Amino acid sequence: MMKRREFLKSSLWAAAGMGLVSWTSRGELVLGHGDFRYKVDLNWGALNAQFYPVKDCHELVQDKQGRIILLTNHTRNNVLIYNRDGRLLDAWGTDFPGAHGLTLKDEGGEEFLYITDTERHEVIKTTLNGRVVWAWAYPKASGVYDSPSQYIPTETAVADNGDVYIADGYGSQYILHYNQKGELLNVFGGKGEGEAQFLNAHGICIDQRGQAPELLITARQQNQLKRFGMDGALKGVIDLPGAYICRPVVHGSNVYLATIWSGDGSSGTGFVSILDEHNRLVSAPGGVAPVYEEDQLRPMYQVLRVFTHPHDVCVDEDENLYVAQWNAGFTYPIKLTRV
Amino acid sequence: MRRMYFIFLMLCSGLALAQPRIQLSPPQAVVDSVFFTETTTVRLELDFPGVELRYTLDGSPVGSNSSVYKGPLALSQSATVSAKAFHPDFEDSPQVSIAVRSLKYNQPLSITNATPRPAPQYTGAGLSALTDRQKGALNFAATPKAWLGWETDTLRMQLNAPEAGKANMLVFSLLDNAGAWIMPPAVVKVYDAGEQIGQIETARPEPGGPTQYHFLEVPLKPRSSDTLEVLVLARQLPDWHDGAGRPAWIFLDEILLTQKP
Repeated sequence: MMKRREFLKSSLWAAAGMGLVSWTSRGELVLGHGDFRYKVDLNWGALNAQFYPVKDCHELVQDKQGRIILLTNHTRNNVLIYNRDGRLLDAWGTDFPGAHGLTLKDEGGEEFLYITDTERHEVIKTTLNGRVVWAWAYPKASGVYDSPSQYIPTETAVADNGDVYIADGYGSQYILHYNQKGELLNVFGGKGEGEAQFLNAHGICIDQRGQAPELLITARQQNQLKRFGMDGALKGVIDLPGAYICRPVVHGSNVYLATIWSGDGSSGTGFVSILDEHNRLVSAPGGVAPVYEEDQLRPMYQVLRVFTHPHDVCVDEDENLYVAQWNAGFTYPIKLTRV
Repeated sequence: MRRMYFIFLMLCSGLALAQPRIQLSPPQAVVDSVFFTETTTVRLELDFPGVELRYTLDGSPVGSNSSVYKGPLALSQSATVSAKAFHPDFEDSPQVSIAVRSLKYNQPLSITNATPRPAPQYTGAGLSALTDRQKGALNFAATPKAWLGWETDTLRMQLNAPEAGKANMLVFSLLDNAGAWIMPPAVVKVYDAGEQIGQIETARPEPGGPTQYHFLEVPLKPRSSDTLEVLVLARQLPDWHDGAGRPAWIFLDEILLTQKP
């Protein structure tokens, strides 16, 4: 695997005469920086929109069969399931008008999906073929919500013990910690500019790279990724100036983050962010090369209009990326093949 | 040999056609201060190998013959810096424009009243934000204190200008963001004690325009009192727009009273 990648990289460098590679000899665009460079396939997931329409393509996960599962808020088919070549294998789901967050968890050999719905104000657990296991309403027991309308969940993270963490990223900005029976154990975060608070707590995941698991939670409007213990205690803040990051996805020693806007937050300015094991930005496909000056990242911005509004990225076993986009002209996911 | 060369050329051109048309992003334009007294500096950047930036200073469209950007632009007069990025392998970027405004000939001004009040979600830091010389960001949500927003057909304002007679122009610093239903107003009229002393009309916007700052200049006839009344008539969203027929939002972050030299 590495050998093939090294070979491809060296041949690309030779072809470009040591310049920066933008196009392969076959006319394919190459994006990214350092060791994280990708060929772009703009048509990877394209389908006939008359039969399998999408609105926003919000999130993607991969199951253990290797299938790529896409969540869209089009109620003709909220879930589209592809193989890695972009061929459609299955489609289901008509009840998720606000389909937004998609998390997959293997629970004793069977995989389940956790869908957040921003219009239903609910989190729904389903099987991989769409049977609903449960639907959790707004967290009245928390005492911090008066009505469902204040609760607009954007993402879930599920721990190995079955605990579910829900990020209320378009609502009141709380992180809600439940056990698997649906009993509320903890509430933290909340709207504000404090270090342990959020402006747009959009995405959450469990980071198992260190000795003890942690939560990574995006504060999108603040261009920050915040680290919390599983008990809700703040552990650190990672500044990514200019990068409006949606959801952290941990794969190997890296964190991948679809970045919906950049620079001053103008529309159409997205790219993809990739952090190393020290949580430093090392590659930004579609964005400017990341540069650190005295440990501070120079503000990021888009350089090529390949992506419009990346909303999530899925990493497969060969470290290829699948990028789903919000508000991008009803387009299907883009694949980035690592070179 | 010649045939081989020909086939090679054909292959190359075929490959070129197969490439997706990818466009460069607009250059980043960073200004020290949009409002300035002596000088201000505009920096342009699109840090990507092989990119060339070109610019104009008079608001005219940037083309492949415009000046090449080689370093920060120090400006001592009001100007509109427009820039585009060029690269042999990619489509030219969209144009970005940033206007800077000299305050050298500025006269004191305060806003005493505005009817109706700004929309509750866009009240800025109050009416005083319109005379604090603080420029709002193009992404208005990023500087909520700077921008005041109205969704109304008609906006009336009372202005107090103690240095009566010295100024001959009123300048409205507006936001133009059709996607967010924000457009410069269609008409602005200025009155002094009931007598009209200035009027300006704006052109109907075309679809696809960029998000940009807009300085609307209203020349004033000589006046007698230190109180001005301003009547702002909102643009009706054009028929090409999703909100056709409704008034566009008016977003203001500054009003300047100036003596145009």
